Amino acid sequence: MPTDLIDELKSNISLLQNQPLSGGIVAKNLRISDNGSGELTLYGDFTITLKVLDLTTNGAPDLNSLMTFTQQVITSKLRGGGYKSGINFLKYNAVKKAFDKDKTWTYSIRYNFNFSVNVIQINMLNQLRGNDFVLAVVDSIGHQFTDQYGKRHYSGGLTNGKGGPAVITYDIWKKNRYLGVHEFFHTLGLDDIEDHGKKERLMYHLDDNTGQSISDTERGDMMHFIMGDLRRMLKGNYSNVSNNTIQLLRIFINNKTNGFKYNKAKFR
Amino acid sequence: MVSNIIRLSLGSMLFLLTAACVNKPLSNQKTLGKGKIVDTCRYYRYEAGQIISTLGCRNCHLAPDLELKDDRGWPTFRGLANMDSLKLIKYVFKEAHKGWYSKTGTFKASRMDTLNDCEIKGAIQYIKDAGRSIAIPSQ
Ligand SMILES: [Zn+2]
Repeated sequence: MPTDLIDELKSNISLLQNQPLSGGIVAKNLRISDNGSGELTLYGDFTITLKVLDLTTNGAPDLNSLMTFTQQVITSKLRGGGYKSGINFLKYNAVKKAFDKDKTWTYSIRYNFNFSVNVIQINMLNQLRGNDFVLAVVDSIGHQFTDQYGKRHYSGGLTNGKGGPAVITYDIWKKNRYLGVHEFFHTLGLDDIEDHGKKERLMYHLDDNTGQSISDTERGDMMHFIMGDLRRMLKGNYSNVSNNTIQLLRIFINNKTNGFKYNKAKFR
Repeated sequence: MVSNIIRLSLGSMLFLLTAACVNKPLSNQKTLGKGKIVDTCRYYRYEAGQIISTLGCRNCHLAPDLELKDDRGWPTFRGLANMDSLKLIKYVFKEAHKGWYSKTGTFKASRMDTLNDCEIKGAIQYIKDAGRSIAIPSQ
């Protein structure tokens, strides 16, 4: 695993030099508590960072207030931890503090995580690292999609898969202040909801939301995405491995089928 | 609205309780209704995602790691997406997982071979989509 190894080395080196770890996810004080009857409680202090890159032609005067709002909503949605049952994994040995590589077990997992969320603006690509999360703000998005009822919609934002970069239209973000959080939660692994019976949910994406709630399952899925491999819990500290964010953003933003309009001079 | 909720809960009940329809060949699920054949299998990304979430595929097949295999030699989620669909069906639903998901395995409670054909098809498409880096649209 060359990439993993390099990231691992980097994070170890920065620990040695007593510098803060960097990346979209940085975790400290990780530990596991096993209740002995199938429930693991995971503890940890996480710092989640989302970098916002302004690529608009005419500037984005409301960007700071949108970023502050986004930071507050992400913080409140991640508060309170999460719970997921039926997690099949290797059996945890509390005495050895290790996962047995031959024995398996079905766990309920309580994510007792504290989150500190940063939403910060960057002005150049070289302020981005391979393991950062990024939200690029553009003038418009030409891409349309068809929902499960056959209706066409314009996209106010697009996210390039789980962990991937997100792009958002400034004017639409101004009208729907939750859009930045919605896109970022795609990055954290959640899918869109199209069921007309679930309009109160943040991930419902057919224009006529009646609310912005996150379900317990969704919160559990995000915690699970954020932690990834449970074996990482054993090391005490962790920062997420590279997802090639810069390269992904470059390909995504230049992909003509997405129809992004932005100031190319700012994308350097 | 109601029917969707019922469909969702029925889906998870079927998933937990039924022990029938093991290893059926993959095909569209068809029902006979008033003399004509209706294709009822449609792909709903959200519901396919719920199946993957319930099965817990990502506990071991990690995303979004760049590699196809991890240090144990297990495929990452990207690695699963990189397999062709037929190999995936064989790998996931028949041979793999050291029997953990079989009738007597440690993970028998979440036996993936009790999914119906349509659910399997959806799950496979969901996994394949993850590797295609398809943009997730928003409003
Ligand atoms: Zn969306």
